[in-house]
Amino acid sequence: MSADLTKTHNRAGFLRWHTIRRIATQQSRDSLFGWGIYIAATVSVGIAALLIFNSVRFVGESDLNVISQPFLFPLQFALTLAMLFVAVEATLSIARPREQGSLQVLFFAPIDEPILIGGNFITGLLVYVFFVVLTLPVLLLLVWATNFVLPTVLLWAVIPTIFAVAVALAFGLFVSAAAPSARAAVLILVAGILILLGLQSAYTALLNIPPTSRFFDALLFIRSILASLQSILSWLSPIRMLDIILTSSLNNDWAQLLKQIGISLVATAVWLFAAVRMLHRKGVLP
Amino acid sequence: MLRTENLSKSYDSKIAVHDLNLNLAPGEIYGFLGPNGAGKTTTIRLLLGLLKPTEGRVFLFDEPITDDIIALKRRIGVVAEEPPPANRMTAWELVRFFADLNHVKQPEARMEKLFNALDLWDARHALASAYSRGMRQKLSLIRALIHTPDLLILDEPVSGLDPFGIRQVRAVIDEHREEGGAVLISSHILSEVERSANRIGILHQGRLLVEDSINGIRSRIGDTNVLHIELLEIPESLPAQLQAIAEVKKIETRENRITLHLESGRDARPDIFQAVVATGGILVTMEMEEISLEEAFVTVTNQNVQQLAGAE
Repeated sequence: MSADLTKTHNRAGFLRWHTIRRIATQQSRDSLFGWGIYIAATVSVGIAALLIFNSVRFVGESDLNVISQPFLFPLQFALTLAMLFVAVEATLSIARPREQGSLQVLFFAPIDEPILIGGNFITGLLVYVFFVVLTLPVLLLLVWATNFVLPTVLLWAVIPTIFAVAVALAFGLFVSAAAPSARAAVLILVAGILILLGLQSAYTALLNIPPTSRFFDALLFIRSILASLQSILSWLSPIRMLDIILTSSLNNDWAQLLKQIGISLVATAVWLFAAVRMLHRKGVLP
Repeated sequence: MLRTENLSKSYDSKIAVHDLNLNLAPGEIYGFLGPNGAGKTTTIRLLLGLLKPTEGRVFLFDEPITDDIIALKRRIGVVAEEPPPANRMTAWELVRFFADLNHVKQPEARMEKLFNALDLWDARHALASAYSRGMRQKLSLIRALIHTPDLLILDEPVSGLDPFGIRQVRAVIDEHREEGGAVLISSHILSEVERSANRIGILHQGRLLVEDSINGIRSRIGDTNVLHIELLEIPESLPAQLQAIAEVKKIETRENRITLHLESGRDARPDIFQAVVATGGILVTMEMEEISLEEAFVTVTNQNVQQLAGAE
């Protein structure tokens, strides 16, 4: 009896996984056949090239003739853009078809909320991998053209960034499930990104104020608040997570890397669970 | 196969569906009628678990739909008013996708049969989003039937179809019924429902007003039936003979035709035939004028409006 029950559960689990995989395959195919990913990849590579060109000029014009990690920032930028691209796609993945009325048609088939969220989540991860595969060869070409050194560890560091992307995707799916319309979903995501980027930029700017500045003491309190927020951001902001994962990989700080991966996994699980609950609550009807 | 128990759905103070009890048996085609806003689509959404009822329960194949909706959905096919697909799938790919979601192994033979039956074979590799409304409607039916469901739920299945398309859809639905499947068909095209359905339910303002066979509904509504008989020549004594039959309420004579207003209930036609023969008349035609479903529908819904107005 118990063996039969286990067999039934295994079969049901297999069918669910099969459906998730089928949805992910179809959605990824739709993404790859669209223009969006290629435009975003071109923009990403273009700006990365510009940043590298800037570094080349800086080295040429300064007497230093040396620059630390010239590819870190361009790579980080390209990966962040890839992450934002898949996050936006995830944000639209439920809100838009629900608004159009096609989500209910999908739900005529034997699928439920966890299957749909799972399918869209895997789609996002696959599209991110494809985005990286598209952009990385161009960066390598720039390495060859500029004769800068690209440490192998920096290339390896790309792999764990998928954990930060997973958080962005899960958050995007939550917003998509919760938002009343596709437009509202994108606006919420953009507002969230701006707030997170604003906090991060403000902290970086304050750190750059020298102790000799007359504003230094006056801004000390704000700086301490933003410093506390930075530790919270390592739990909340996928952009910050990506930053930590890349730098800790580059510095061979394995403890920090593992800690951040753990944090990302927890955050992903929380947002995915919230997305499933929210979709269940909001439903699939326009 | 499909059963609801006191199913109700309300939004704030508006009642969309009230105390609905439906029962659908295998091999049955149930026509679900109602004017716009009667609650038909809400009911279908409740049946599919897309909406949660305020009260009452839905049972599919004797299981409450809350138990394992995924397993239950594998046995249902649904056609609803659907927007054009937003993806880049061809019609063939779209049906294949849904076949995969339903875990249909090697669906190609069935796909070919359905595409041919609905005359979409030549257009199977065109983008589904480029299909006309009628073609999309047929494609939805293929999608709904690809996994050979036990129960087919159709919301306005023939809207947007030309007469050929309607015939093709009707044939496919009939075949599904012949294979033992049940069909719940919601439509405002009453003639279509009249042709297909074994049983009719008329929904108005969220309430199921009548549920019966088409003949049952006719006899409930009209207390008289009208019979036209045509003779070579009307014998002089025939009108009096006919008037003597208990069910005959009124007779109208015009040239060689007689119109009889009969009380509903017992079939008086054998007595009428005997009276014609006994008076030496030669019967050419005998035709019972039946109340159309449209008339029945209008009468039932009007009666309900008047009752509701009276209650206020």
